[in-house]
Amino acid sequence: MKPLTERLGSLSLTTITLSILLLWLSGGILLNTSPTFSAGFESMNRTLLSEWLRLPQEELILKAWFVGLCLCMVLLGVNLIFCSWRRIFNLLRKNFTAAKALMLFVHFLFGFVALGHFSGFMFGYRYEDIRLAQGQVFQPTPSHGIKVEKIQMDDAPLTPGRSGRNSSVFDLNPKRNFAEVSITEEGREIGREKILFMTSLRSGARQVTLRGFAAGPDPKVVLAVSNNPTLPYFLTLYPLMIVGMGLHLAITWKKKPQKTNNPTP
Amino acid sequence: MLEPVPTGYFFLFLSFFLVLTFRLLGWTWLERVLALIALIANGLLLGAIWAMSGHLPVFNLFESFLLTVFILGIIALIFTETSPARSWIRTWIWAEVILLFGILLFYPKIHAPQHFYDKDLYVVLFHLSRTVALAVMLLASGFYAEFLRTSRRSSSQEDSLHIGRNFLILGTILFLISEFAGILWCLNGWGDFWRWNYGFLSSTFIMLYLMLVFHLPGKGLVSKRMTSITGTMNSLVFLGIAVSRSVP
Repeated sequence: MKPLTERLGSLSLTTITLSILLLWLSGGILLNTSPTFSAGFESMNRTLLSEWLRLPQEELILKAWFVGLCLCMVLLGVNLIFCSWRRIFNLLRKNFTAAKALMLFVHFLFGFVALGHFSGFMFGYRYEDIRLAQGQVFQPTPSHGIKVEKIQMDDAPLTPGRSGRNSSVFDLNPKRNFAEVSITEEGREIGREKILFMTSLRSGARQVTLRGFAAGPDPKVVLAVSNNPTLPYFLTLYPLMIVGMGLHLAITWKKKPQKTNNPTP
Repeated sequence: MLEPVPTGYFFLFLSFFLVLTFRLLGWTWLERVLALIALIANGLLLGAIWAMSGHLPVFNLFESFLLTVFILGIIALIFTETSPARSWIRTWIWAEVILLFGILLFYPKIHAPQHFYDKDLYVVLFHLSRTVALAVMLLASGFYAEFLRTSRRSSSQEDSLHIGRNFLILGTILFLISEFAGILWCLNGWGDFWRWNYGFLSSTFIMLYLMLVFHLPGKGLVSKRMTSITGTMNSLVFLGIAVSRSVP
């Protein structure tokens, strides 16, 4: 019988876990397209999942689905650790090749990318649909403030009807519809920028994104305010992983001649 | 009066249908000449759509499938065998082209409307890389299918399996580039790199499926056949998701 460590690092476990993940994700896609759960998914988009999991009004099925997804990913992570552990020793002891080392590197990076992705759900903060008129301030944390200095609306103002993509908002001319926003830390201004669609204000891991405009006698901007401390690592490791895969492909593009047992030259 | 874009589409559909027919009949020279003519016409149609719309032809299913066919056709002519007696890869690819044109029968033959974000680097890169990835994966599926066809014979084409794997990894890299561009697009437009919606979940599905193809255990014939089956299916999974995403 194979030892547990060997089983935990086996490709069979990888295949099983990936198959379960695919089924689980299919379930999630079905839930997402169902009108019953679409509001729940919108809620997941609006808040950090560490907070969302604690919200009592959210659907239990959706929470169970998300926890199941995380458990599958944990199993894949355990599999990755045990498999990589074995391969490191194999690589160092006998069969060292650049292709194998690169593949191991890509797998490590994948692990960190997945971890960075998950951390983005759990750490920092996220506030969506923040509506502010000119001169108003929003405080995501007691020490930080976001102030709308100026609102410029030339086209017909359109309020996003729902979170997520809203084509009418994206059809506004960004050059003529924008806001000037400043960000303060302990009352001191640390950044000020003109924000428009697809151009956000960034200060460290903090980001202020213009999502739309709210019509009315006192026009407002609709903002998304977020802080994801792991984002820079995630955005660095992801392309590195792609480069690693590219290098591995370049090295292994040509097929190695197969070893034969025939001793004749 | 005939509309130029739909007329161009039907002309291409007919041309590629004839290309496949000539291929099946073994009239290789005619197949090659007509394929070249069809690809030039395809390129001209894409150029016209680009000029009319003011953006790269990648923003709706009609445009992106036309570009997929164009790229797939060119790489098929470069990387696949000429003789149908030696290999069925190109036959498979022309059949895939017909499938793409068949799907487009149910879609309006018009270019995507203009948006202010059409020129954004990440938006363009997302759509373009995805389109090229689909073309490369469709090519890979041809090699996998060829291995499946010959795997029980003594002259089993192990090389097809390796080339299929190469193109599938290349397709995966292009797909990941598209995903990374999508992440940056989402970050700039929505303030976060992830959304719990159909688009993101279906992209993750494709990525996990690709991981499954690359991680099937074993080195025997059964394992190789399983890899070929899942590798061939991959392009259909990608295609199915691309079509489902275009449904409003």
